[in-house]
Amino acid sequence: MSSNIIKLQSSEGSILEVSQDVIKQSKLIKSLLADCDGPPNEAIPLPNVNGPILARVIEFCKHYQNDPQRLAMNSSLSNNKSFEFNEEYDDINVQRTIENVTEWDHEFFKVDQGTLFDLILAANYLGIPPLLDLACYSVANMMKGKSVEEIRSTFNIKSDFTPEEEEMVIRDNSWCKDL
Amino acid sequence: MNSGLNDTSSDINKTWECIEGGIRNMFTLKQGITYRDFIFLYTTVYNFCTYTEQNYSNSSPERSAYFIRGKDLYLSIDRFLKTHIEEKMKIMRELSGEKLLKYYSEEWSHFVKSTKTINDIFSYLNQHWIKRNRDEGGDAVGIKKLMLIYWKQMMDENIQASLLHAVFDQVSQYRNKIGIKESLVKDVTDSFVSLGVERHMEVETKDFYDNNFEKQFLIESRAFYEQRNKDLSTTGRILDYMKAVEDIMIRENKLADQLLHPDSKQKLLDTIVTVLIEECQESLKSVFETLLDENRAEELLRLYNLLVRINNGLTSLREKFKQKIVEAGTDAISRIDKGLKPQQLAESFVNESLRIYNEYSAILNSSFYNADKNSEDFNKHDTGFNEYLSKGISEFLNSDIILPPSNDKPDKRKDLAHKKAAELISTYCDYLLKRASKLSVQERIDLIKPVLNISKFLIAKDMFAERYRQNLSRRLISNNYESIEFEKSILSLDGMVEEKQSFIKLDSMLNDIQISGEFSETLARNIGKCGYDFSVKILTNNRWPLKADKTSLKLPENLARTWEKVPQYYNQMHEGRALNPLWKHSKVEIVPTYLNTPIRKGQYFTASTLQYSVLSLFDDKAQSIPWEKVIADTSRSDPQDKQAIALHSEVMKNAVSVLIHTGVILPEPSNTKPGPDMSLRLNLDFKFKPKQRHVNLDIQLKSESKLEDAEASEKVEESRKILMQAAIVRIMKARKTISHTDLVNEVVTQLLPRFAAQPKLIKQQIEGLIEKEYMERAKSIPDHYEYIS
Repeated sequence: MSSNIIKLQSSEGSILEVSQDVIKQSKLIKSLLADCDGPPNEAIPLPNVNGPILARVIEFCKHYQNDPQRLAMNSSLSNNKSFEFNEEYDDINVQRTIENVTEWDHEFFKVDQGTLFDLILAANYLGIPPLLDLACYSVANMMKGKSVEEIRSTFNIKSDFTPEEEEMVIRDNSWCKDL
Repeated sequence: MNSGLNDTSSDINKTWECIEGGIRNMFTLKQGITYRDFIFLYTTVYNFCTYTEQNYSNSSPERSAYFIRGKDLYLSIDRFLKTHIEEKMKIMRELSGEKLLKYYSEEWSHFVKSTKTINDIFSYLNQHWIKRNRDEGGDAVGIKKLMLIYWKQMMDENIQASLLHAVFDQVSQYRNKIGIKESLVKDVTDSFVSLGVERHMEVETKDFYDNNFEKQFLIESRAFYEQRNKDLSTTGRILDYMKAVEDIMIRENKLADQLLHPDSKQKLLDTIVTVLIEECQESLKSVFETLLDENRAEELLRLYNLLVRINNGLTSLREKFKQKIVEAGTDAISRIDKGLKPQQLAESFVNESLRIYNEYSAILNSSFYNADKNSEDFNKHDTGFNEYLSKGISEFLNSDIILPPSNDKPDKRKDLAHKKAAELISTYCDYLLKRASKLSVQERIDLIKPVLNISKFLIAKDMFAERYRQNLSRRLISNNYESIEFEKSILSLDGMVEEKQSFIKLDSMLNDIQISGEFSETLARNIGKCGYDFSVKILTNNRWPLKADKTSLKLPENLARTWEKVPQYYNQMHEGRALNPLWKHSKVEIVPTYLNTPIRKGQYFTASTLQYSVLSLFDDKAQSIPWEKVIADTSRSDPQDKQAIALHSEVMKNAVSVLIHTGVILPEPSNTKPGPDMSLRLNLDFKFKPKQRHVNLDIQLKSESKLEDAEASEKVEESRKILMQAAIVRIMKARKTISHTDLVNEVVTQLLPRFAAQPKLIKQQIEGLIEKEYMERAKSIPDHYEYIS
């Protein structure tokens, strides 16, 4: 069905075509399609997402388009009648997403740090909670079991504490060394 | 564009400038937003909320891990919405009537759509800053809710009164049958329902609609109909009024469906019912009798459907309905000629009762049902009227107008009347079921169904059952029935036998006849030739309402030879079973060759075996035989046994009376009744009537049928005594101690399905049971009984 295909325009201007059914996993696109009158053939500009990242987002959405578990989560979302935050993605769903990480997910997130962070930003902007959760989970895994210095070097973070401050933080949190 | 957005993100003023422009455009253009504009606004909000300073100093408050941007944006949109909505309301404050409705409806429709769009544009703010603010106890609310809160507040402050006024004007127009624009009113009521939001309540309620709209609406509605002209001084005016109210109910129903929240419908209808029906119910009820007398089905139906809506609206009508039935029934029955023969009397009684029943059932069916097509109970008939129909029919059917005047005590007379009705209906059934009836099987079934239907209204149901049994018995043993299958099919009809026990009895009678047929066939094959055809019916003792012969008849030689073999053969098949002959009920077909006028082929007499025994005494056709010889020669008893001879003589008197009555035997001297000092002689001049094939000599005399009546009555009374005793003992066993009045009442109630027990007879049974020491009078409490276990 041609009318089902919509065009997305990335930040640098490239056009990607995608089925509505696939991209409706994005809450932004879903509400946009419900609220706007078009024009129907016009591309939807997404100034915060670049082409390669958008392609990866679409790949993710395509993979999960017919996933029954994911669909069940989506429907539980739309049943949530809370007035203001009716698209709320609650903690139980986060838990479920993380418990059900698949081989495909691992492969999908085997990317460089820059891409991973861009995926997080895109998922946040487009409103795709499963993608956001899985990406954050990947980041968390990168920190697991690492010392402060190792984390700093992994993420290329300069310490902004003064030596006195650092001393104090270490002393305050001395209990966690035993863990 | 990307860089352009980035420039504004850090600064609330620049950000807000972008957003305000976009939203203002949306409000003024009142058309759908484009993809591009939507994304632009969403991204602006998003970027503002997610902006982080690149070069923040250590002391900057934004360094807090808990800090989420959004407060400035929230305050700006809050201020903007408040101002914008207030402006709209101020414009509407200058309007009124239909103009106001039109403007409001348009604004509201657009507003509802934009609440969703704006809420979506601000979804990042909703999900983060606003959510966090609320979690921390702040009073920020989601953007959509915020919009509705302001709308409600401003509407309430500025235009609510004039808006309601305009709505009620429209509704009044509708009620005066002037066309209105329903959709405009519907938009207003919808908006009241949607505005059930409170800043500090999570869920939406209908309170705002209930308190600010519905309450006032119901008051206005009541006032409108209170002003209606309610001059109900004449029947004509009442009928017109009923039609008008019916019409109003339909129109108000439609109004509620089109304009109001579904919950308001019943309240509105209740209000109108109170004003238009309940407050003038007396006038409405006053026309019922006239309508009933004139059989005006349509108007009765209307009246019923109006009054059914109010509490207790129908009680007096149902009572009146019953009263009418009793009057009509009593009148019809009292016109019947009580001197008619039993069969004609029964026919008139049943037909008149059925006519009244059908007449009032028809009224029930055409006028007392739910005519509201929208109701779940549409077409459902009124159970109350049905109950009173039954009461009315039962009252006249069992009343004593069918009896000739008598000096019996009221209780006794009532009981006689109950039994009489049962007897007449069973007589009519017998008439329909006899083979002699000229009607076809199907015609008879069609006729008997309604008869059985009204038999349900009999009080003495036990009498009906007993009479039916008696009649069935007679039909069966005199071969005067259609077929066993036909009789069985009648037994299975609705209303025939309500008690299993009596059904089994009747059914087993039919089975006896069926088995006897088979037995007769094998019997005839086994005992060889005897010069005539014969068959026997073997009836199980106690199942038939028949009494064993008091006499020991001496059979004529030719019959005796055959009969001797019957018990022998039967005992071969069923050892140890005794057979008692019932000569009085057995029949012989005789070809009378002795007559002076030669008979034609196929002409014959039917006589009882008793009568045949008498006829066969005449060796010489001119002979005259004295009564004493007749008795001696037809009895097997010892001539010295005076008692046995007397009994035999009594039985033979009846048999011979009929022979004399039919003219086959002449008494000498003539005109004497059977008995000593008279002789019998064959009437050789007896002639068959032209075309007559057969003469029945065994007809039932009036005296005999009276005897049967008495027997049935006696039998019923006997079984009633047993039933009353059983009921008393049952109740005593359960209650242990009970007052006389309570006991009597409870016995009456328990037995009502079978008959109406007379208190006097119940008292007799109680006394009997005290004597037998089943119970005793309580020593400590007066008028009480105690159970003796």
